[in-house]
Amino acid sequence: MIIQKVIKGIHGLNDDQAQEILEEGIKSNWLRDRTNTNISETNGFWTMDNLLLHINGYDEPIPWGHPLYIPGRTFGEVSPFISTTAGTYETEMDIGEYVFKNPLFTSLSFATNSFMGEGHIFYAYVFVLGRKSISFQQFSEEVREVNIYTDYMEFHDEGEITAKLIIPSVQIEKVERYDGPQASEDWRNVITPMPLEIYHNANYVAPSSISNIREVLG
Amino acid sequence: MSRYTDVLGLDAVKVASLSTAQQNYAIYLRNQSLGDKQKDQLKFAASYYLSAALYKSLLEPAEGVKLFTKAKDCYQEIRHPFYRICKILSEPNALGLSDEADFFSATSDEAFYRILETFEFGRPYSSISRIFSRYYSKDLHIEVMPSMGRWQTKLKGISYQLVIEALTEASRMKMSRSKDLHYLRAILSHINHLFDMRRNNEGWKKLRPGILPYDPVSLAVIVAILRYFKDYDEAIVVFKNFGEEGINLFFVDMAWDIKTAKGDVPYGN
Repeated sequence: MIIQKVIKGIHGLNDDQAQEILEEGIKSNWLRDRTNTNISETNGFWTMDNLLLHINGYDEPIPWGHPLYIPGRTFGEVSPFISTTAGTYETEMDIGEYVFKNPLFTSLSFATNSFMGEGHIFYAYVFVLGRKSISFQQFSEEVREVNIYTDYMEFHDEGEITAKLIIPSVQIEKVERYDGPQASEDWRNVITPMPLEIYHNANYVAPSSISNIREVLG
Repeated sequence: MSRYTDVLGLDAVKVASLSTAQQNYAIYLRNQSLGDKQKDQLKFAASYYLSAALYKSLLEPAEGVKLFTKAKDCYQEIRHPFYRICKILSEPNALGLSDEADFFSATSDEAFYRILETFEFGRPYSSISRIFSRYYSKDLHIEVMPSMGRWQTKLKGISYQLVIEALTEASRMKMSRSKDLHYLRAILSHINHLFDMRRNNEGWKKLRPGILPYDPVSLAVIVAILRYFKDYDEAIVVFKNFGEEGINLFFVDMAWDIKTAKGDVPYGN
């Protein structure tokens, strides 16, 4: 098992809502739509077909006949998966190069609506196995890793790590609020973008506490 | 409001914001000094400059040209042959100088880019084209949609040879006989088909961060072809004759704007 750090940009939150997410965890859109959830309802969600719908068909209408089908809704709006990013190297076919895609740029682009406004960036960690683990809700999927996920991923450049159902509060370190135009201006001035606010999560447990390092006694 | 974003149904404000952020991130990468990682940083900066240029060209072609220059400078600094494509888009009227000896040490990509760079009006059948054909295409059959041969271009599904034939055809063309420009028509049709495929993508419409609005090599090919025309009206007469094939003139107008770097040509179709 590997502890994988990830970040996630969310657009349209105020600071109170962002802090609420710190306490409750980052929920999938499917879970957010519900007040009372019987976890057995998620049986059957964790399939490769659904994962691919989340990755490649997020903005597309839900296929007719799908168990989650609601007329007029996209799959992303009801998806039980959660997109995060850890960055990646992307093949640029037009040029013939591999190019690093910065996860902060990607998540800021989502969070600030293409750098037009403010947005929140969450810092967390998830558990991955270094192989496919679709059936297991508790493990995330490294869909950016082409040696594991050989299906074509149209938005591979976004460096996606896909979590399932919820990223628990205990795994979320902090949330930062950024101003998109200011972040862009920071890059122009050759400095790493600075957040306007940082909220640390009191529930957070650092992954070092569960990694296999045995300290000397004493 | 830009005529290109308007026609493509893209949010012009969002395009401008994304382009600026990409440009600024490229500046950040360009100015970081990271020792042995510096070459990578330049490569990544070039990529973000290029994307910024493609977006900016939809709004202000003259500003887009400046960003193509930035991308060219980065690629040239790391000796990546793609700088030649950026050069066509940043200095569309500056012809490259190549001699035969250069070609025999060039990769196929670089040789092709040089051909695009050096094709010029008044050379009815380029000697460079002949060199390229002789050296690289001995066993190549000219077809429109193959996944063919060893020397497929970065233009997906189009061979170098087909582009060269189209350029050669354009150099010989008579305006009154534009219906006979088979290779040129095939190239434009394919470029437009690829473009339509991009436009039908939901991620493209939403400007997801890694999406390029159009293919830079396609634009460079059309800029090279436009060298054969004295003015926009002359070019448009020929390209409109392809209209029955459903070819829209987006790329032709965009390429002409890049070529003149003014952006004052009325939108054609």
